[in-house]
Amino acid sequence: MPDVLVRVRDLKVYYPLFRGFVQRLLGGGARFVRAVDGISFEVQRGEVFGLVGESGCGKSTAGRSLMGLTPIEEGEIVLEFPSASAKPQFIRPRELKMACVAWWAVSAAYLATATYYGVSGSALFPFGLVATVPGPYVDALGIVGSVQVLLGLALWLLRPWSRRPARLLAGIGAAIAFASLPWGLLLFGVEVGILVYLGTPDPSGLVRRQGLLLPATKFTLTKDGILEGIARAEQQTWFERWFIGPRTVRTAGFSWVLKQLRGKVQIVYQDPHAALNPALTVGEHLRHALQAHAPIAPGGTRASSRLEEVNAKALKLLDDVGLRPPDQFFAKQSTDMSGGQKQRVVIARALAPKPLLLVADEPVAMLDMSIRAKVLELLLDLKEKYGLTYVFITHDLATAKLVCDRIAIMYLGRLVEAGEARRIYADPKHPYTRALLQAIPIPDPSRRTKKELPKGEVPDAVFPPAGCRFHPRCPVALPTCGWEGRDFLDYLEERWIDPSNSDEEAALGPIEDWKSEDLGASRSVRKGDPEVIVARVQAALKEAPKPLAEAVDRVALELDRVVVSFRPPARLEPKEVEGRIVECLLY
Amino acid sequence: MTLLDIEGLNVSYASRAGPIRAVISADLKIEAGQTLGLVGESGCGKSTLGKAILRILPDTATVTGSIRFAGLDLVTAEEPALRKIRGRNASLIFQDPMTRLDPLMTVRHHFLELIRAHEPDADEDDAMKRTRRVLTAVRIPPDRLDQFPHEFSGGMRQRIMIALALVFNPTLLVADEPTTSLDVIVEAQILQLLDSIKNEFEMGVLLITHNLGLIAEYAEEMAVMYAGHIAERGPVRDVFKEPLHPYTKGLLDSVIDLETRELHSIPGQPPDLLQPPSGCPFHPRCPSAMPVCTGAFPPTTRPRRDRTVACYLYPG
Repeated sequence: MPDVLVRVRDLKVYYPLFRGFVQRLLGGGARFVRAVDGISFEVQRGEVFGLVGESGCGKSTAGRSLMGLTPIEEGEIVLEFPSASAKPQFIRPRELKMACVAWWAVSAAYLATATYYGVSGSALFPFGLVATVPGPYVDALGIVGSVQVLLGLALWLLRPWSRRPARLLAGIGAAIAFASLPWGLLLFGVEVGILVYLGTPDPSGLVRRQGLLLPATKFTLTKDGILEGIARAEQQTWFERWFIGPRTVRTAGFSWVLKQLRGKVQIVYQDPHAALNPALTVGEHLRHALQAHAPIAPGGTRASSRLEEVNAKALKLLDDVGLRPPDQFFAKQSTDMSGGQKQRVVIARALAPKPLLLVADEPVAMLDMSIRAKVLELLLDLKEKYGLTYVFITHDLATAKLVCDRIAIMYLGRLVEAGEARRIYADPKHPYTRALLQAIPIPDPSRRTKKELPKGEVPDAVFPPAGCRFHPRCPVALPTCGWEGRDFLDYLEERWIDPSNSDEEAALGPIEDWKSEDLGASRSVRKGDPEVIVARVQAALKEAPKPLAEAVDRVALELDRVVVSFRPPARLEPKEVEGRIVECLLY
Repeated sequence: MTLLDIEGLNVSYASRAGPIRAVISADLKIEAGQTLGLVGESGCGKSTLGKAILRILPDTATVTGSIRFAGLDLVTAEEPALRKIRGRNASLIFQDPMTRLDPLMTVRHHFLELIRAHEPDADEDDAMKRTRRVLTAVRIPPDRLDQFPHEFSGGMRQRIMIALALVFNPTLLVADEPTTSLDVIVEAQILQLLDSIKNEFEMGVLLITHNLGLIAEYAEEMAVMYAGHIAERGPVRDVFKEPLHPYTKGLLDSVIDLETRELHSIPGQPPDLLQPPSGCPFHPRCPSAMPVCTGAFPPTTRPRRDRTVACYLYPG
């Protein structure tokens, strides 16, 4: 059994910003919200892994990406689960069977009629034109080929998973149709062989076929979609590599692999009022989840589709989440319940497919203080009872301390500190972690202290700061942390709030006259004396915070502009510091 | 000096299913330069109480009792008199700064509108001078006056709201969950700002929140509300040291902070205000409930100096 359940490597999730018609016509690079910008972490089996950070830091996006709910820009997520059962399952068995039957029926019917009448059908069909050898065989082959081409195209369009086999069918079909030779029959036989290979259960019970899969145990989520099981290129046989291709399924559409994944990874949302459908009863919510994820038995029927069985399971779930008596809650409309009870239903629904990993996205943030503890306790109890692993997303460091074994602290799409919760709370290393811990209000009026808070707010994730993303707010920043042109402008703006600097504002301002470009900030000197402006800028820099002032490379006149340029930032890499990973130049 | 004196305040909302009593005979006092923290769970009536002070409740609400402020009884006062008070003597900061500023108006127009509402012939230059003063106080660059609310971050918007509330140097500021939608660091920033402004402007502040940590850090007096009633009232230090009402005890125990080792919670669910339990509304969840608790609501007693509590455990 694997000990590491989730392995995230250099994950990047970007959300494209809306661009209007004109913008799109004019072109130019699309802009993205860099919600998650290169994070790596692992989740061990059976632990509570906390993703902690302020709003907009990407913690929810990171959590959702584990379910395949977000597009992935770069990197990969590997989820490996212990195998649940060894029974093979049909995917879309009905469609596949129907396709085979239809194809064989059409072929056989035409073969029969063509042989009997001896008609020269070639003229009627576009692919059967080369009638060099007379007789019904040619026509029959032409027709069979044509049907195959059409069938292959249809399969290709309808079922994303069957693109490669469809292409294969269509290709061979076309070949037969054009060749229209008696030995085409041989090719036909090969094709039948392939279809049989694709459509029959594998006696050895291994995950091997496109059309037939075992309950998947390993999923790899990448930019291209979800690669399932052993289907990664290096693990495939030459036959699979050449004729079937990687088992890639686009995340955007519905897919069987995605559904398998969702049965293993479930999510508890923050807002229970929005997570439940007001038109459904509690029982219906649970039934939907139970039925949608019921295992499919060979032959295509879902195993426990009988209503009584499903209802019994739903009642058991309600009992497990502490909604007692369960039969009373079963019939309730979700709108008739309090926030805490609704959240319990959301949890029960998440447990319905018997997941192994539960992403809890701020599960208690919307609940009242007096019932938060109970829901947290329930989550911890269920973890033992169901053998779950949690990814616990929260902005509340105090809650995270109570429930998490290991935590990762995120800031603006990056992991700033990650490791054992105990160690991080005892001795936070990253300045941001320290700031977060300090900002938590202490419910003890006798211990009031003045807090040293970082200035400002979380910057825009479309244009994250250079270097370390926390540097503009960091109390212990270094000159190499990534200072750039806009930091200088922010400093000027902040400085000019003070009325005593109004003459400087008159000389250098307004702030709109300044332009910042990456490492530099500049302003036209056509208005005013260039020497005075340079002197003013230097005077302002003298009073600037030390790291900012020291990071300035030079202040110079270039043509008609005064330019303040900064030195490039030092390379920032995650480092191991006292048993945890920290991304900070201090270490 | 008592700034605000609320006595026997009742607020009920008319609804199809019958009246919802959101505030029931509440008594509160706020002194000048003092922060009163009003704490309670969602639906306990704390926001209604805050809005009742400025009489900005919806038409379905009926208010009785008395709210004495600035020489007026705000319950009986007429609309023109109330208008003079709102935004001038008493201001309100709402929970969600994202939605409370008009997206179609620049910051300048927000301030102009407010100032002209009270002084119709105010000169724009003079108004902007005042605006600059309050914006400086909340550290917003005054040269961003002509920007729209969406161009500011959440914390900055809340600071603009605070600046709007401060234009006329009000004596009372009602802050209704002022930081609930903000991040922890920004929350601490805003509350530190409010604290320093309170001292600078000598205001009384009613801080409505569900977060006991904030009360502990920023309030001097506190009142705990449950199902429309004020369960307990007193100085913050004393209440945290020795909570009297079982609900206050339960609430303090259920706070999760960095030193929490064990989780505590109050059994049951907060009551439905349409059909509140008889007697003390807390009795179905109370660990020390007695037979008498189901009868009538307990009288408010004063078991300690400066403390009041409504519970049968503390008979007069």
